[in-house]
Amino acid sequence: MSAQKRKPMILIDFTIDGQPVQARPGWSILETARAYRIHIPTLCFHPAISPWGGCRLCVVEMRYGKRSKVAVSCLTPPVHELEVLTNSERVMNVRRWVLEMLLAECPASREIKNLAAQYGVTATRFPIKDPHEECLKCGRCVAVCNEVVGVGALTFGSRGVKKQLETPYRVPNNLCVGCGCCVSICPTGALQARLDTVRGDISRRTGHGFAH
Amino acid sequence: MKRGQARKETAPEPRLGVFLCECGAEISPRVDLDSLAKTVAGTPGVGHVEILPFSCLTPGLSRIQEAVTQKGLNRIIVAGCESRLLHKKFEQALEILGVEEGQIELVNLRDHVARVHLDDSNALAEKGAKLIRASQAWLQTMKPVAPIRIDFKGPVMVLGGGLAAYSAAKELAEQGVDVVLARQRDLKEEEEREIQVYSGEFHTYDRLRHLMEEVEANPLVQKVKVGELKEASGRFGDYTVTFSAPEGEETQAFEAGAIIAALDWEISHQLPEFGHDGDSIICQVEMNELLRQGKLIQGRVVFWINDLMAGQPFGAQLSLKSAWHMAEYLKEKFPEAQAAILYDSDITMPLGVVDRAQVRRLGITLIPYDGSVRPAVKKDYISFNRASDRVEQDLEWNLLVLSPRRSPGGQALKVAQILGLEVKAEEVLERSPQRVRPDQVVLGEKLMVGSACQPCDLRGALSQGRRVAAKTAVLVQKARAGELFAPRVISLLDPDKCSVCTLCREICDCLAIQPVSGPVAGLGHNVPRMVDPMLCTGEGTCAASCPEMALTLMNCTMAQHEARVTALAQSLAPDEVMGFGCQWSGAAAADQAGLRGFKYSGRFYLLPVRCLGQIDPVVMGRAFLEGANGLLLIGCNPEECHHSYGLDHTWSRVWVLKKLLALCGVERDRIALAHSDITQPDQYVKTVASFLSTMDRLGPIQRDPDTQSKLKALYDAIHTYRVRWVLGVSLRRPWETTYPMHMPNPTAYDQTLTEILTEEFFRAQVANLFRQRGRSLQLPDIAQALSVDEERAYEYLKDMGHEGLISIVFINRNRYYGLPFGIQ
Repeated sequence: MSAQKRKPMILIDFTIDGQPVQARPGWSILETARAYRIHIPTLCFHPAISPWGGCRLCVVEMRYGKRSKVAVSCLTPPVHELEVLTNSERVMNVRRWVLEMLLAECPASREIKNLAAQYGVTATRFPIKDPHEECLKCGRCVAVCNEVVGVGALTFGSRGVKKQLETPYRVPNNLCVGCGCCVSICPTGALQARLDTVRGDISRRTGHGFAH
Repeated sequence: MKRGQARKETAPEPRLGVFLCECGAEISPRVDLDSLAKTVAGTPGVGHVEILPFSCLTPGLSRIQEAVTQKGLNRIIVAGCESRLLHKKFEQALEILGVEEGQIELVNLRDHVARVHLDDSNALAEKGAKLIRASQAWLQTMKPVAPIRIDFKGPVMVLGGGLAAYSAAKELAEQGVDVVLARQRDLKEEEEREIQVYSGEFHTYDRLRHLMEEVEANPLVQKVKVGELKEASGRFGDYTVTFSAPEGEETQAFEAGAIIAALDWEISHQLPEFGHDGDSIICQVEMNELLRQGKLIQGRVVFWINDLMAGQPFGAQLSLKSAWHMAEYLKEKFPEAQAAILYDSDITMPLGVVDRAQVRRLGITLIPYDGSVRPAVKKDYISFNRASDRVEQDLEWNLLVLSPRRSPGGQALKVAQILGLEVKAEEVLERSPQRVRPDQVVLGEKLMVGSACQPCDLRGALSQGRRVAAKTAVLVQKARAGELFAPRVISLLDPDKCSVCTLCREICDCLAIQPVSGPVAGLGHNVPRMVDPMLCTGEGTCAASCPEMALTLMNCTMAQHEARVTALAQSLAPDEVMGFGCQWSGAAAADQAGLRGFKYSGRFYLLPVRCLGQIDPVVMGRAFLEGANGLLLIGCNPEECHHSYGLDHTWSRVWVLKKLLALCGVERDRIALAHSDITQPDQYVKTVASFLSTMDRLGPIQRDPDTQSKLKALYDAIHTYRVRWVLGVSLRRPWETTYPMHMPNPTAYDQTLTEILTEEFFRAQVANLFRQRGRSLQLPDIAQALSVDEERAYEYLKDMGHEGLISIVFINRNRYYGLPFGIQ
């Protein structure tokens, strides 16, 4: 133990569903909840990449004094004496809407159907563009390729309703190292089915040996 | 040779911390983590065990950091999920505490155990314990090697004579990096070359000249006039480049940190069969010259784009574009002349909408012809088959301009060869190597640029030069800040053990293994070898092939592999089977099977490796020796290995192992090579199930003392130089068309291989027998003990005696064979 006086550790005391919890600076509400084994569903969140807040499934209701708002827990840091509710009516409402929209976005995905069923959502009122689509555009694959692998071989192309996962020019990418991280991080089977559009034919990349 | 400074050594004694992750509801309660923690804590060598709700999130990481600091842990096992995704996060969190890559292992308890097996939680905890024990043995055997800091000495040398050199030099100078521009011609001559090499690109010539003037004036770029390139030796960061003097016999040597070779193609006139006569039938280069000189051109000028017919498809679009530019220039200068471009309809027209409007405005005719019929050149007409309706047409002409012929040229080929590339005449130098890391320095792709490497127009060549220079500049700046380190897992050569057989250089696909005094045409002998740390991809097939075992894969050694395989093999139940999977396909497919919720038997234990190529046959033999009843190796598809054909090499090693197992009286099917892909986890599950049923059919190996001693002989035989050499020269390299060891056919090779293996197996058995009995033996005893007929044993023993491997002593006219005299 050093002789110098240690700086006192700042701890943030707040509650999640009435249970008192403690967080340190830098922890988000989601991470704190998981440290206390409190379940909050997520889709676009993955520990290997920076949180994005795109799926809006991890929303929680935050009450501070007389005010209350619904925000994503993966990006929000807690503050002192915050009251976080993970299953309030407002939260469940948002979750059901999100899941219903997802059922229309990627109707073929088994994982989304199971997740939706857990919250009582089995049908969707939104029009289905492509009944065989599994990709929910969560962006995990793009993030892992940029942050973990460092290559950036695939990206979102087009915008708005036409947004889809693709490689530049829609041709297999020379930058791709073929590591398969995108396939592993994909929450559905979408990228597994179309990995060859990104990495191309591997044998084309093994030229004749260099040195002899 | 000096490698540069090393960092402070980490603590000598390994202190292991094991963190079990609950992963929400994914691992626990499927696996009984409490009982697993108890088992692990009870193992000697474990300094700390803890169960965390989520080890990968900030709270979990802080907890791991605290434990590392409090207990002085320097080896970490996290029993969680995918190593490929989360390794970086753990490394970054623990690097500041002195725990580095190679000292952290992620055991995929979630997707290899919890999510895929249906056994009860206790059984899964036991399986987890065995996998963790195996990783523990791996980490404890590891002796961390300090990371090699790459010193960048000297400027960047830009050579080769290509025009891309200028854009490269400019980019480097702008980034503040010193450059030496070595050229054979002076500036005026270089400017003249642009027209010869890249004809018709009027809009880019000015840009090039401007660029050349800038580079000429730039103080950071040192221009030197040299003769031909003679030699380039050293490693990235420390090269010595030797040229012959511009005139005279002496040589000039330069020190450089990196070499960028700008190589342009050579332009020559088209093949004579097309009728080139220099008068009315000319080449694009000559046309370019005419236009530059401003000579009056009248009549009908026809540009014939005949690259496809001349067998140079890569040149087609480039010729078409330059013909288009020349036609445009012609029509603007001489509106009276008529211009037409006759091109093969298979060529995709690289003209955009604006260009086509220009075509119409200028009155240039674009005529696609059917490529299957060769246009015929007659005195006033060219007849061709029109593509749209396949009707023969005639085209009047006064001046016919053919496409030029492009080839890398003798000089470019020689430079590439000196830099280590295998070249063939006439063939473009483009290589597309497998990449395993985004920051990988790849000699061919990264440092050789220009139209001889990737066919392009002038703008493309300049752009290639600039891109490569930008990447090099990043590395140089990192090195200057002292932050450029070689990757942690790379090959290291022990020059004392190396016998310079040059096998590693043949096998290595990354050009990382170079002789110290420069690559020599053919195979250089008596030249010590070295591994360039920046080029090595860390696969390890070189280390697994070296007959002298002079190469080691740092932080990933054969000793570590053997320790891990021993720990697992000894702990397996009789009906359990082990295997290796590479992180690109085998283990990745296993990960994916878990993520997608497949279910299969828990009796298969997968050990992930970077590449199957690093698994030395010694490791395979050790597995069987220590108790494995079967070994399944799952890797990428044939010829699709992400590294230097490691998978294909494994095929050859498994071949040898099968033969040796047969000599031991053990079934050949017990070792098998399989292929998988991450996109087919269902296939992986089937492969595992099939191998398990094969193992069930065969049952466990009957380990009587005789079999066990045979397996020991197998293990010893794979250590011998002769077996490793024969295996090494016959490693499968898919493009080869001859059979190994110059055999006429594979059967002859197989027979020779069997003979050699049988003999070496016998030799190992004999040596072990002498040690076991502790005395010399006579021929009948030896033959009986090893179940070999006396005649063959006699021949073998005679050879062994000649080679000094055993001693033969006559006592009372009887031959006694024993261990050789002297120090064992």
